[in-house]
Amino acid sequence: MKLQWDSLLKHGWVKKFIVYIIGAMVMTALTNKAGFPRLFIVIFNVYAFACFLFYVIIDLPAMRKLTGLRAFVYLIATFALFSGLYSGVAAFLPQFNPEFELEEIRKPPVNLSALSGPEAIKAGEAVYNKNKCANCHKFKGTGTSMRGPHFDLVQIGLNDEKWLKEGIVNPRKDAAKGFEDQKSKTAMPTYFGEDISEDEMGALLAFLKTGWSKENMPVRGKEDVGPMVRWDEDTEMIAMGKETYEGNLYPGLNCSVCHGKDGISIMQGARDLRDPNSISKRPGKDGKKLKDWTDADWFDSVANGIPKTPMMPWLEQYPPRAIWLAVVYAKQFSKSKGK
Amino acid sequence: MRTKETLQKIYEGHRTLTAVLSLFIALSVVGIKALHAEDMSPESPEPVESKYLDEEKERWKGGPAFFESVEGVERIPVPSVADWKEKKVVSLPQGAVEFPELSSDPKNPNVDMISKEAWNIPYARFSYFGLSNRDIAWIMGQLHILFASFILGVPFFIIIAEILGWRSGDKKYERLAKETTKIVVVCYSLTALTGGFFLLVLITFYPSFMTWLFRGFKNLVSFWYPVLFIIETVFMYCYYYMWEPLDKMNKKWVHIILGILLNLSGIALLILINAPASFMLTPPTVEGSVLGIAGFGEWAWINNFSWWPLNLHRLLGNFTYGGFIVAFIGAYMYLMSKNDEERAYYDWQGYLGNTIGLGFIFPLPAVGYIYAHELYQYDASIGMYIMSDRLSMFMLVQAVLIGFLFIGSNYYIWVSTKRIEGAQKYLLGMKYTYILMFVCAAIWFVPRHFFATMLLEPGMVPAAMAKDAYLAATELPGELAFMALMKAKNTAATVLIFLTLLNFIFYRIAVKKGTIEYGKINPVSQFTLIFLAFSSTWLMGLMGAIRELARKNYHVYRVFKDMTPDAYTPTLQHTGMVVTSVTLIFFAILCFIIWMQLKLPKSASAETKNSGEG
Repeated sequence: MKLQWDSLLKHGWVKKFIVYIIGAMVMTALTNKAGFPRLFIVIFNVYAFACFLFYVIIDLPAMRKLTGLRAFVYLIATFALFSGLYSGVAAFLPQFNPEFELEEIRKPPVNLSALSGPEAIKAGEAVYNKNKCANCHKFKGTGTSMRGPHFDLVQIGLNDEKWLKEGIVNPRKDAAKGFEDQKSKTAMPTYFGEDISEDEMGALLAFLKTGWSKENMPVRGKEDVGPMVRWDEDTEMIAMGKETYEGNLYPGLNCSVCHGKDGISIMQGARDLRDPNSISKRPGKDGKKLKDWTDADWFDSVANGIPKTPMMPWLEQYPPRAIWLAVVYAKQFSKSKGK
Repeated sequence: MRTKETLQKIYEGHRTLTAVLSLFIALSVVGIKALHAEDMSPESPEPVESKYLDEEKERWKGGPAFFESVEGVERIPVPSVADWKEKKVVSLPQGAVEFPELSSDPKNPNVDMISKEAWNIPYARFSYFGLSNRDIAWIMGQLHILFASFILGVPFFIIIAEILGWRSGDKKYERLAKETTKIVVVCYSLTALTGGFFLLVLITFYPSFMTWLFRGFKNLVSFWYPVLFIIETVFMYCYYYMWEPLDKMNKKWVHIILGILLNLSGIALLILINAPASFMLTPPTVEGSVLGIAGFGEWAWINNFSWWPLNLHRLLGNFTYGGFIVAFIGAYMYLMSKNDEERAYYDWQGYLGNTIGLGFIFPLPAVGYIYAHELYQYDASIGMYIMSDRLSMFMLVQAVLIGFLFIGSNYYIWVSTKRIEGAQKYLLGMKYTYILMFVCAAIWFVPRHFFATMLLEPGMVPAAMAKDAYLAATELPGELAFMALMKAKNTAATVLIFLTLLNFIFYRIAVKKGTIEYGKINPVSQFTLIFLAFSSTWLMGLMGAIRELARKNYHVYRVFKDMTPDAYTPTLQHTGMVVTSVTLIFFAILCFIIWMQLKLPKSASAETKNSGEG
């Protein structure tokens, strides 16, 4: 048995095969541990096998001389081999169905006047897809790229239409937070103002306007550059929240009238915002201490108000953006005394 | 000299080399990590005082009027479009001239360069062999470009060979230049013929667009291009037919000047025709707007955003291609030769062609990167369409081809070194580099995900699989996504080039120090040269298709829409078939030309000699 092994090992390729097997196993284990999906590991193994073949080929004995018809046949075979290989690779890799692109090309233009609200939003979603906004922005669960702001997280719908339209038509004028570098600034094409018709733009904005949440605090920043900053931890937004809270930003919306500029209530029944143990009086939330409030609790209490108290449902009169800005500053008073 | 010796010492001690390579791998890994870490660095805190506050105040000061269109909790209003009626006013760049004979249509300033009658020519399908109009135009266009690249890249090689032969007195160079010119002369005619065919096809299939385009490039198309073409033809025939007489008159320098002029006119012609080619992808804009492009003037059309990046890329690409094609001619003739003397000569030709091809391939990835970078600068969505969307799988095939080209070139170096006496010591070191090359080729290949579009489209996820499970199986997780970015690819490309250069330097040292006997090379090397020529030609076809398809469903990006049924991006499978077919047609014609111009006369003269002796 030992003798057989020795004679087998005399063949160079056997040694190489053993090295290849060990190498492939190590590589598979390492890439698996690193978290590569199986398909990628298979591809790496294909390269590893090609590498093994290459090492076998370089030590093969020299080919014998070819002349005449034999040489010509080998020449044709070389062309056939690589034609087959390249066509094969092109055919083997994932394909798309051109019909979907053709469908987009053939779609009639949006006619906004003929659409009602939900239909306009649906049409806007089609405009969003047609212009491949998802290539750079994540929104409503689609998109993987981090090139542009994450519309769900930044809650793009909190912005007004003029501002949104300006961002689409003239994107390089003012970069979003975290996207101020030159590469990000120039990533957004400047031609959408020309390419998107007025009706399409209207529909698109209607769709974008749906992008806000009453559950989570909005954030700013770029995902892959650093942690995205919540508005209530963002000094700029806190400053704007202060202006909102104190009634300087949205005429008629002034929290400090009841809750005081420093969070100390100056009106009967108004909550002392400095007290983290202050108890909620909202229906269904009775007894929940201020320090345990979620973002949704905060938004709900400002947006919908507290029945049977002077705290009115502010969302009926003011945009969700104003509600979040007020919350941002209102939260600051109890922050240092919190949990 | 001293550097060479030092490198040689390193190479001879393979332990040291292992250590150097290990260090190199480690540095590469650290480099990639460092680059990635740069992205993860936290941002600096913003000052409290900010412009946003004033803007916010300005934005909301509309008061109740603003709130009318704000989305409430339940209701979703339809936004008003009244404010968006105003359109951007475009001012023409300084020096731009309107086309005086054309009336302008305020509704569409771009389409009124031709009469309404010409504009409305209906689409008609001309089907030959079951091919679509686009396929026919594609095949003819690509075939024309392959011959055109040949007559640009190969004369550059020829003139270098002739100058080297003149200066060194080595007859081999003169013979190489002369023989290759015989092939070029026939290919020159074929370039013109396929070009004419291509043009007729374009005019027949796309009459409105071609009229519009030619009206825009009126001076280039109606004067400069044809005149330069005639000038190049004159130089070509003078160069070919005056060779012997000028040699006899001892006026070699005149012939060399003719060769240089031939090359210069060829380069000028390439630069000129690159103008419409690049214009179609990156038409000039004023502050990002293409409105009124018809009035920007011809120079603005020529001097468009990607003109010079394309010139640079195509020029270097053609020189690479020229080197590999000359090596192919050598390999073909080596295989067809019947005596050792001929084999020795063509073995040398193959070596020289490969050296030139390799020499120009080193900067090619960098120049390609510059071109891609410029496209991103012009309009990032073009870059994304290529790198991450419908053309992303095309780029994976490019990665396979580039890996093959580098590894094939290194294999040729290996086989060439093997036949040099006293060069065994270099082979051991070379062996260590190959594994790293495969690693780099694999890194170059790694995509972000294994589906052919940016986002999943209906039908892509197998019926039995949930979307999330499919994504998890086909997409790199976020923390490994950097493997699919240019940072990783550039590192892999740099290492590949560095290692190939290293092997090439040591091969050159082996040639100088050892004894090389041409003709005694392993014949598999000739098939490697054939493979390299085939692969570089195939790659040119693929990259050309990618560049053209990056315009999406436009003839001129964002200016002139393709309204034909062929406006969609074809599948990679279809593209692969077209590129393969054109490459095979090209090589079939080339083999015939080589046989007709080189092999047949040799066989005939051998026959005459034999019958004379008999």
